[in-house]
Amino acid sequence: MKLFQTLVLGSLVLGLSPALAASLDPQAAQIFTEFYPASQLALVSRPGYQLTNAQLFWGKKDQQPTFYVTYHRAVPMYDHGVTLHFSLVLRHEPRSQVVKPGYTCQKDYLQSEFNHPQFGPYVLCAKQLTTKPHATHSNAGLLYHVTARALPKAGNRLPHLSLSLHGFKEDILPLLNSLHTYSQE
Amino acid sequence: MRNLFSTFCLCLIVISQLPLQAAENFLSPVQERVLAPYFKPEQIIVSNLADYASAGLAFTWDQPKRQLLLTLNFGKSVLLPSQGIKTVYHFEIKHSSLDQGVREPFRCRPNEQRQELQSPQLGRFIACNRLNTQGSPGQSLGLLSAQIYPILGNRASHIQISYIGSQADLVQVVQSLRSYR
Repeated sequence: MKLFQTLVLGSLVLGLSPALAASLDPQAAQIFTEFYPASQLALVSRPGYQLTNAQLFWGKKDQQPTFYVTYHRAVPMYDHGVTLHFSLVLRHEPRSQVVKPGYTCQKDYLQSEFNHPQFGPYVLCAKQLTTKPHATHSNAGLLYHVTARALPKAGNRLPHLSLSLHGFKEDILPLLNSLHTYSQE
Repeated sequence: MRNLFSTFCLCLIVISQLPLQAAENFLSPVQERVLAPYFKPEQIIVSNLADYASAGLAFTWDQPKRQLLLTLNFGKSVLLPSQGIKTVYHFEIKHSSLDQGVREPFRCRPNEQRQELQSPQLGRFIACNRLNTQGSPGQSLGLLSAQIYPILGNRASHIQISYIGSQADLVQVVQSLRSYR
């Protein structure tokens, strides 16, 4: 019985910890909502991606600050002898980041569109990356992962926000779909 | 002639006062209010070194340690006449709520040179210096990189400074450090 309780409690703690780490500390939110209201302060939520830091940056004294929320995910790939480190940055700017009509991604990036059910259209620029296995695991194949940028298109309801994403291919759309604001937490 | 001399003196006084005025108004009222629970005005360390202008500031929430970091950046544009190249000398003062002071005996890394520096207002610092590594653009300019740590007992043991520039300016930067208020 005790073992069962420990297992249940353990799984609850394990299940809760990514969610706790993925949300912004209320103490920190109090600081940042002075400059970006809760309804404009964007966050994501995906198991494994943990919020590591949030930063307000002023280039010039009287300017409105740029606000960055950064997540990190470490994925140990035991069969390859390496750990992949993925990062995700939500960049909030005082001005609109909406792309002009006819915008094209940088060379080597695959362009597509994404429509967030709540916030609206984004242009998505994605590129595949590879990581070699460690020399001690030379028989293992290459690891494939994706880096991407999501920029708001006209009509988007968070025009001041862009995202830089990094993860496995199957992480990108769930990450974008998980986009929400602090006021929704 | 007398008028010219008076004007010159007045200009010198104004110029010598400018950086201090800039330091006094360094933060906006909102920034001061947000920082107040984390850093008292006397704990915010700035530089009033002439030629160096504010090059940005950041409030960073460190989630794992649940602490707020305050980073102040200063820079000056420099023309290196021997190379005819323009570069930037830069330093960053990072304030933490945790103690950053190092204890003696303190050793820098094997590839670094230790230098002891003194701030009249704050106390002793140790700089771990190195010339920029091979292949970096700074190497040909002979720029120095330094990480500057307060020695335990320093009145600003909650800061650390990253510096890139000349050896002469490094000494002046540390001497110029003072409390914001």
